Amino acid sequence: MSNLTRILHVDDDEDIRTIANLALEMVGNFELMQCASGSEAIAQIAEFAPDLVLLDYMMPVMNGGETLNEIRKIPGYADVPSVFMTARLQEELVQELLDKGAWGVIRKPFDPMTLADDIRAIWAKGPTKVPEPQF
Amino acid sequence: MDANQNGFKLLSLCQNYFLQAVLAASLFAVITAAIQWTSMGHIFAEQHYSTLAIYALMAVALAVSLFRHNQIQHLKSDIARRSGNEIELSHDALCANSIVTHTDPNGIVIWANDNFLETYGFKRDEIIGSSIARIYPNSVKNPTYQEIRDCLTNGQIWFGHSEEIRADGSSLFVEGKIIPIHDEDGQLIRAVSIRTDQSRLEHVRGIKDVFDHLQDEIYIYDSESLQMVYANLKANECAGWDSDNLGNYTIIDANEQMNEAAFRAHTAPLVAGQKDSVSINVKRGATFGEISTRLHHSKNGRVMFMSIIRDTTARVKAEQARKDFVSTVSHELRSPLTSIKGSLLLLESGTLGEFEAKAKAVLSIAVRNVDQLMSVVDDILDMHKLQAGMMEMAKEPTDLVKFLNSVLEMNKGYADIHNVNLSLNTDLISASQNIDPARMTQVMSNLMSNAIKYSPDKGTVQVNFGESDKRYRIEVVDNGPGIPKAAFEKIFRGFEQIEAADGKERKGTGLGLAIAKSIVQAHNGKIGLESEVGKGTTFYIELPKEFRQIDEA
Repeated sequence: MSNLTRILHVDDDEDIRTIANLALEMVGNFELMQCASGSEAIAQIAEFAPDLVLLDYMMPVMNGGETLNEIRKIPGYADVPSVFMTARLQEELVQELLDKGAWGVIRKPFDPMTLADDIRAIWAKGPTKVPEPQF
Repeated sequence: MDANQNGFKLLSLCQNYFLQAVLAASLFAVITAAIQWTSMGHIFAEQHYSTLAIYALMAVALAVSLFRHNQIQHLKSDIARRSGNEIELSHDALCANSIVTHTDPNGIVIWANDNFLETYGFKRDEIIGSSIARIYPNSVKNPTYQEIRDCLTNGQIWFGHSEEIRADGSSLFVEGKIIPIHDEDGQLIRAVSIRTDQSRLEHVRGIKDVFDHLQDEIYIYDSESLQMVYANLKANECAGWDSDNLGNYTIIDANEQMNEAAFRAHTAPLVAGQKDSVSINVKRGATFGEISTRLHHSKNGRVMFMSIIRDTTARVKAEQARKDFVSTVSHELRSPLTSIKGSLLLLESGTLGEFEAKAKAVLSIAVRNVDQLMSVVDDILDMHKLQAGMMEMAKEPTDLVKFLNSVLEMNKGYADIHNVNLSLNTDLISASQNIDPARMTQVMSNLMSNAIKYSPDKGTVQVNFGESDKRYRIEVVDNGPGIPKAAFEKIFRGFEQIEAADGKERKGTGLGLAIAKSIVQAHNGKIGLESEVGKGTTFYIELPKEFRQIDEA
């Protein structure tokens, strides 16, 4: 597996995008692109060509799962590595996401000092399941 | 019986007319012959042979008629004898099943069968010779009693229902038929009443009425053919059935979502005797329903199912609203907290530039309080989920020894801050049990953080782990101020953080133990405490063993 350098981060919360930006670019030294919605991510993913997508689950209009479904339809992204962010309490959701091929799930609130390391650990471990075509 | 009697009468009438005709003809023939004998000596003359032949034929006819008459008489008496027996037998059968009394024209009881005495609670001497009026409440004004009297006086049979009273004054409902018996002159000589006790039926009718009008749908049907036997009004209305032709429907027709094979599989545990009842949720248009089914054995030995369909739309919607609330609150509260905490941690780390010591001290206060707020939000949402039955346990086989070691490791940082020592004490090397490790970690962390919080400086929190034949027991022991006995129950109720014996106030919502109790109960376990003021507290968890121990060879 190639090195993890480019991450596409999708979250509708601007403050969280700012903190994640600091955590991933400044602390983690990743190349980062951030989108405020699923549709924005779908439109821009091919141009940015990320190694991994980091998706907030609970977003208006199109949630993280739906966004990933659409991304997987784009040629070359059918098995794009994906990591979700969810609130701690949605335990059932965490399992569901892993079952459907997510590489990992990071619980909110995340620690910006360790976020980059957490994502690198998920990358090193690889996928837990073969991705299913649909969420 | 009537038809027989009429036939019998007709037969004897015809027989009589025939006999009379034959006798008259024979008499005429004999007289004519006698006149001819006496008037001449040429009786053997040729011209009289035909007359003689007629006489002979008449004599034969007379003989045959007499023989037939005897036969019919014999038949008549036989029929009469048999009818008498049958009437007697019928009366016996009637008395075995019904309540029978005979009264004289004044309503005095002259005979009563055993059923009467048993049902009404009278002794024979008590009722024979006394008026039947005593079994009718307020007989003088009782409309039924008066109606019966009028009927009998007019020579009519009375048939109907009445409420009557037993010797002890309690009432019963009877269905009765009272037949007047007259003598040859048409005088009433006695009345025979035949009653059946309908009290139980009346009760059953009352229950059926309740069933009919229940707001839940009730279906009773054959467990093999699934063919309907009973459906209450609501069921007929909801299924859109014609109640007069229930036999045309099966339970599968009750809901468009039903599938026969799936329903039979669903009810198989009932037939196999593995379960008392099964239930399944269904959707019908815009409404939701729950079908609960149980076995119902009918009196004739048929195995039936009884299904109750309850409209759960309101409940399902309320559950959905709770779920929406939990996820909304979780999202709306956590998102800003995530940003605050993230910002503070970034600042504190020095990544964005170094702060002087005073500023760092203030930042760490902010971080600590954000953590506090976060755990309050978690507790409230956990409690809400537990109350709504929304918290599902993701159980998996877990080695409790390893599990406890990791829990100790996890709480070490907090113990260090409070200068408290942690230790695990067990003889077990491993112990496999099905638990939700995340939820049980939450329970253990709660017990341990409480124990650490209340421990004196340089104190020790001891975790003991042991087993008995049937259960595992985990203890968290501290030598803190202890908890007064009066607070033992209150402590698990939530929002009721009790005052410690030393009077010092500690942070927290008090929800932690209520949540812990619910989680332990969801593992079929028990949580409790032993404490002595001034000496310390032991919280314990007992979990019933799920895996049989396999002895290694």
